This record gives sequence, C-alpha cells and structure tokens, in this order.
Amino acid sequence: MRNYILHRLLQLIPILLGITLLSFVLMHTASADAIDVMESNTGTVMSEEEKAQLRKELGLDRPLPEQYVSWLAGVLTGDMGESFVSGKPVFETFVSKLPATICLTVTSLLLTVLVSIPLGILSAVRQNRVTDYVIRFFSFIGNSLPNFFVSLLLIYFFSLKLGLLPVMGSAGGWRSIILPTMTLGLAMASKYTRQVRAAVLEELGKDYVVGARARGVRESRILFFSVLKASMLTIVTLLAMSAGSLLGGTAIVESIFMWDGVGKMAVDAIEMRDFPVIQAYVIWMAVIYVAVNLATDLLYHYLDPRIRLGQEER
Amino acid sequence: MGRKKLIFLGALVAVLLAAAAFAEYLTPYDPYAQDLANALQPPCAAHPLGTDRYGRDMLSRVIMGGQTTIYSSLLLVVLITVAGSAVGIVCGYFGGKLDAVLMRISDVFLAFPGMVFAIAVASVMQGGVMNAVAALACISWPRYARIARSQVLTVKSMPYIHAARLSGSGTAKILCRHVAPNIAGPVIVTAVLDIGTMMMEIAGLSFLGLGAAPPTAEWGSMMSNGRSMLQTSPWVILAPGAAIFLTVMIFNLFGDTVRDALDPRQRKRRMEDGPVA
Amino acid sequence: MDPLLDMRHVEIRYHGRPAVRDVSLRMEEGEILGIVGESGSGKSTLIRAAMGLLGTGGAVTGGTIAYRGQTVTGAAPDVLRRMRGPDMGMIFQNTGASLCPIRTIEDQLYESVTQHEKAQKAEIRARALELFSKMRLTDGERILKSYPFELSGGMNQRVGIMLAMALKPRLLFADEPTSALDVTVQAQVVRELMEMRRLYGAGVVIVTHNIGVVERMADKVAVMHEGRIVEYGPKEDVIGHPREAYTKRLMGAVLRIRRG
Repeated sequence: MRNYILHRLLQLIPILLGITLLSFVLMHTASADAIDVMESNTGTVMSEEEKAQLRKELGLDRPLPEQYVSWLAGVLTGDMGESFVSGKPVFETFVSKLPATICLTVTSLLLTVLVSIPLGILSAVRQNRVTDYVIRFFSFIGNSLPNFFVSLLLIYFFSLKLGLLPVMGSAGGWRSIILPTMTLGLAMASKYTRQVRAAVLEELGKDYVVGARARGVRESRILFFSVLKASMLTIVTLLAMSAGSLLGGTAIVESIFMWDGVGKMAVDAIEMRDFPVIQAYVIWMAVIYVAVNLATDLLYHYLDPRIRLGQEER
Repeated sequence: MGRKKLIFLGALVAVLLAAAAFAEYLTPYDPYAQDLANALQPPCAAHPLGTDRYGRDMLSRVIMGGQTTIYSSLLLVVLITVAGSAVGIVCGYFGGKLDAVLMRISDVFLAFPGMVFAIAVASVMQGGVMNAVAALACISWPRYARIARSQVLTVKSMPYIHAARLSGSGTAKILCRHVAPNIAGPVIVTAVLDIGTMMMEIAGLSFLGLGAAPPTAEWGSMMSNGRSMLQTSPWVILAPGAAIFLTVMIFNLFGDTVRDALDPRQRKRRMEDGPVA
Repeated sequence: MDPLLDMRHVEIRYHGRPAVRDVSLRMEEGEILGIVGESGSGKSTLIRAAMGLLGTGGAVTGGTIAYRGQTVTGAAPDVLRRMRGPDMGMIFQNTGASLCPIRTIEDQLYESVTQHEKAQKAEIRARALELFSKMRLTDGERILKSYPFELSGGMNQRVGIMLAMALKPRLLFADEPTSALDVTVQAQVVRELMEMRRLYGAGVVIVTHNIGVVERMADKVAVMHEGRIVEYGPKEDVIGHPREAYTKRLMGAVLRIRRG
C-alpha cells in the first residue's frame, strides 16, 4: 500500500514539470508581456528604456530556458518568487486566496450532495412515474443552463428584485456565499441527480436485489443497505473529481461574484501576465489532480472489498 | 416512440442550424446598426426583444449571435472528435513508447482545470471566437483520445482484425476499414452529447471577454456587455441567456436521444426486460 | 389439512404475453416436486410467481396459488414479504450473484434473519454453523466472514442453502441449483438438499432441465413445455413410463447424452 502511494506521488513529478513548462511557454508566446499590460492598464506612457529596465529587474530579458530553470531552482528551494503586480511573495498571496475557494468548494459540494442524492434515489425508485419525470425535467433544465446565466438570474431575483442577498464580494459575511453556492450547486446537483439515478437503477436491476427480496428483506432495507452502498462507489469517485475541479477555483463564478478565491486570482494573473502567480496556480492544479486520483483509488480500496482483497492476494 | 422522438429532435436541430446559417436573411433589422435614440427600449411591437444600449435590435442580434455560437461550437466538437480519436486510435493500436508519451501529455492537459487553461490560451491569443475554439480544443481532445484508445484496445483483439491482418491488409487499411468504424459509435455519442456543453463553454469564454469580441454578435459576449444593465434593462441579458438555454437544451435532448438509439448497452437492457424463465 | 402448495389454473403473463398457462399443481408437506422443461418453458416463472417475485411487467393473470391454505396471489406486498424466508425460501442458480457483492455473507445472513424474528447474532451464527456442519463443511466461520466473490460456485450454493434454511422454511424453491456446477459438486448439492428435507421436513420444489437430478430427488415430477404442464405424476410413472411424446423426447435427449 505504501509503495502504491509512493508510486502515485512520484507520478506527480513529470506532470508538474510538464504542466509548468507548458504554462511557461504559453505565457511567453503572448504578444504582450507583463510590462506592456501594466503600461496599458495604468495609462502611463513609459519610455523603452524604462521598460527595458523593468524587464531586467523582473528577469524578463533573459532567454526562456534560463528563466524557467531559475524559476524551477527557486521553487525547489521553497521560493516561488514575487508577484509582478503586487510585489508580494507569491506563496503568501496564494495561501491568502485559498480559504475562500475551500469554503465555496465545501458549501457547494454539500448542497450538491444534499439535493442530488435524495432526488436521484427518489427518481430511480419511482422510475417512469410522475415524480421521476418531474425530477428528470428539472435536472435536465439545470444541465442546460450555463452558470454565468444562472449567476445573473440569481443576482437579478435575489439581490436586485427581492433585495435579500448581497450582490457580490464577501462583504455581506456568510450571506454572500449563498448565491455562488447556489449557482455551482444547481449545475452540479442537476448532473449528479442523473448520475445517482442511473447508478441506483443499474444496481436495482441486479440479481442480488431479487435475492434479498426472496429472503424477505424489506424494500427500504435493500435500498439503503445494499443498493445505495454499491451505487455510492461510482458517485464517490465522481464527487472526488468534482471536488478537485472546485478546488481549482471556478473562474467564471468567482469572477462574477467577485469571490476572492484562487480561480479569480488565476484569471486576474493571466490577464496581467503575472507569471509567478500563474505558475503557483498551475502547481496547485497538478497537486490537486494527483491528490484526487490518489483519493479516489484509496476510497475505492476502502469501499470495495473486491478491489481490496484482490490486491492483497496479489 | 424513440424513433419519432429522434426524428422530431433531429428536425428541430436542423431548423436551428438552418436559421443560424441563414441568419443574415432572417434578421428584421441590421444587427450592427446603432440607433442611439432608441437605446434600451423594453420589448415592444417594433422590437420584440427590446434594444441594447446602442439601440441595436436584440432579436436581430440574438439571431445573428446564434450563427457565431452554434457554428463555432460545432466546429469545436468536430475538431476535438477528429483530433482526439486520431490520437486515441494511434495510441491504442500501436501502443508502446508513442502511446506512453501521448498519454502522459494528455495527463498534463487533463490535470489542468479546463476553463482556466482555455482562459490562458484565449488571452494569449488576444480574443476572437476562433481563439476560444482553439483554446477549448486544446483542453478537450484528451478525453476523446482516452475514449477512442480504450475502444481500440478492445476492438484490437477481435478475431476479425486478426483475420484482416492474416489476409494481408495493410495497417492503414485495417485502421480505416475495421478499427475506425467499430469505435465510431461511442465516440459519436460522446461528441453529440458534448455539443451543448461546448456551446456553454464558448459562450462562457466570450462572457469573460476572451471569445468573440464586440461588436460581433455572440450570446456570451452580449450577456457580458449587458451585465451593468441587469437591474434597469434585464432583457439585454435575458434574451441571449434564454437563447443559449433553449439551444443547449435542444442539443442535449438530441444527444440523449442519439445515445439511446446508438448505445447497444441500453438496447440490450431493454431486451432483458423480458420474461425470466 | 391444507396442502403445502396448491396451484389452480395459474396463468402468468409478461407484458401481456402469456408465459404460463393453466397450471395446476398440489404438494404435501415434506414432498419433493421436480419441475423439468427446457429453458423458456415457464418453470422458473412459475416458482417466482409463487413467491411474488415476478418483477416488472410480469403478473399472475388467472387462477390462484395458495401456501398452506393462504392465498398468495393478490396478497398485500408486506404480507408476501413476511412469508418469503420463514415460510418459503429460495435457492438460485447462482447464489453468488443473488448476494450483494460488497457485503459479507455474515452481514447478509443477520439481515435476512432479523427481518423476520428477534434473534441475537450469536444465536444466528450458531444456527448457520450447525447448517454448515450438516453439510460437512468445517470452516463455517471463514465462510461467514467471506464475500460472495471469494467463494467457489459450489461453496456459494451451500451458502444459498444455509441462508434459506436459517429461516426454517416449510417450502424451499430451488431454481436450477446445480446447473452451474461441476458434475461432482452437483451430486453433493443434491445430497445436501435431500438432507434438508430429512432433517427439517421441508418440502422442496426443484426446477431444472436436468432429468438426472429430478430422478435422484423428486417424489413427483411435472414436465413443462411452452408454459403448460404436459405430464404430471409420481416420479416412477413420469420417468419410468412417459406417456407424452414431449416427455419421451426430453428423456431421449438425456439418454443420448449419457451414452455419448
């Protein structure tokens, strides 16, 4: 087992190298660099000498491979550099954005699970009856709504029309997390309701359900102790993947609600060509990717005896 | 029942595609003609969907925007389907080092959160809806490569492939004649199901200002431009929003129906519903 | 006294199409009835109907089925559920698949027993271990701790017998219980099913296409063909002196296989 985890962690290395190199090259093929963007954003006209001076200070004048290697050397010694824009250490900036994203991840996942699991089960149990059709109808609608449209609709109704909730930012305290959570939750709950329904239906069609019925086990007991347990194997994996992408920050939703998380940080940094911040973000993404893969494997190992015992025999 | 549904939705999709193709002839007004005297008119008889802040007719802009959004997402889906399956077929069929390298590369792309990577690509390329397509293509092909690859791995060991090889068919012929047609089903199903999602992503990039740039009519950028007028003139947002929603829904319904028609697993399940004897 | 199982003019349809037509059968306590026929003849459908397990699309559309005088057809779902297990048990062709793959045998044993009676775990265990030892299985403890996929087909069939008998049913339905097994294991499972009748007095309905199994076990035999009973009577008569052409063909097929 320990070997396995170690193996997974080793996998992180090529992914990290690939992904940082990719983003590095990508950002450097941009026609405008950080200095040009800064110039056009602040509106001040800088002379070519001033620009050259600034580029030299930030190390942007050196050849690409050299820049990458020196950045890499910095990271290996625990120094991720400073933001071109704010001048603050990148690591601190990144860490300061993390809580907002983690918060939003937790609330929207909770909402998703609380809505989609009961609805998905209900839909499956009442297959092809009115309840099922109503639930499927709504989940279908939810699947066809882009989340920026949902955000705007929610803002329109809850903030502008009803005046119940703050429009954006975290100024409104806990109430400001409601709308972004609802936006993300709606899309994911729609998707998951379908997934849960499909998984439960698949399990309900298996012979062991007939087997349990033949032993006189109550329907509710069959559903909650056997069918759900078995269908959760797939659902949990999907949830782990969703958690991963949410932890990466949701660029659009974070931007619309001015939610100060890593997604918005990344979008802002891309716009400003703030390489060190982008790179920090990219590392974070790679770490999440590997962590999610590891977590799903471990979960499977823990939840599915067929895998657990199969591995031990080998 | 399923067949009728497929025909009906197919017809709806065809109507949408035709409307988008001939958008120029369908718009009641010039979608780009400004008329500041009539700016931000609420929906009325002359302008069923109102006007935007430059007095442009929203209905005309929504129709015109459909062309941009629908055709760019179709282009995107075709692009990633072809590129992804080509990589997948090569990886699956030849295996070895090439396979390992390509799969590691797709790992790197999969590790990126799609949208953020697309944002990076699109911003480097300085906007334009084709750049949004390119950006999303970059991040979406690996999924198709994976699907195609796993399909090829199962098809590869089938007796008819051995038979073709023994009868002296060349590799190219085997790939085109025997492998590609047999993996087409699942790949096409994925592609059709993806159209709606891709449409939302393209519109999303445009919404962030990274896709279609003004004044081009595109649903996402129209919504983005209307954001500040949400309170006073909500139709500026609602019209393109409803257009995306309805279009995506039609394509999603179509995708589901195509899947039900093509997916052999579903068909089998329906047959197993028969008597247990 | 009422018969153990009484079927009168039973008709069963799946999605409107008849699967069983005009079947009448009668069984006394402790009797073993063999139902033979080709696959698709409606024999499995018949016993599933007796347990109320027809599933979606299937329904008894005519006649009655009664267990010890109590009508099963049309009974409330919960009344039927309570009868499944303590009154009527069932053994499947593939017990491994009839158990939840991610729960242990023990877990599912406790579950089915406690659904019907208040019993301590230790007591249930003791009951299971006793049944295993009757089947000359010594490592009952290990079997209980196992998951279905860890056991062989033959072992899973013993688990199936144990799970059914733990509730001491008066009537045991066995649906092709030996068809997926090796010949040697088949013989053992047949012997164990007979033991269950001897020790607990349970009546057994064994559904199979294997005439050899019926020959060894049954007191009475019913031959089914296309949803109907074509021949029904004591084993000696049906197998020894088949009257119907179909029965003769069925026998003939077996004999040819034996000679070959």
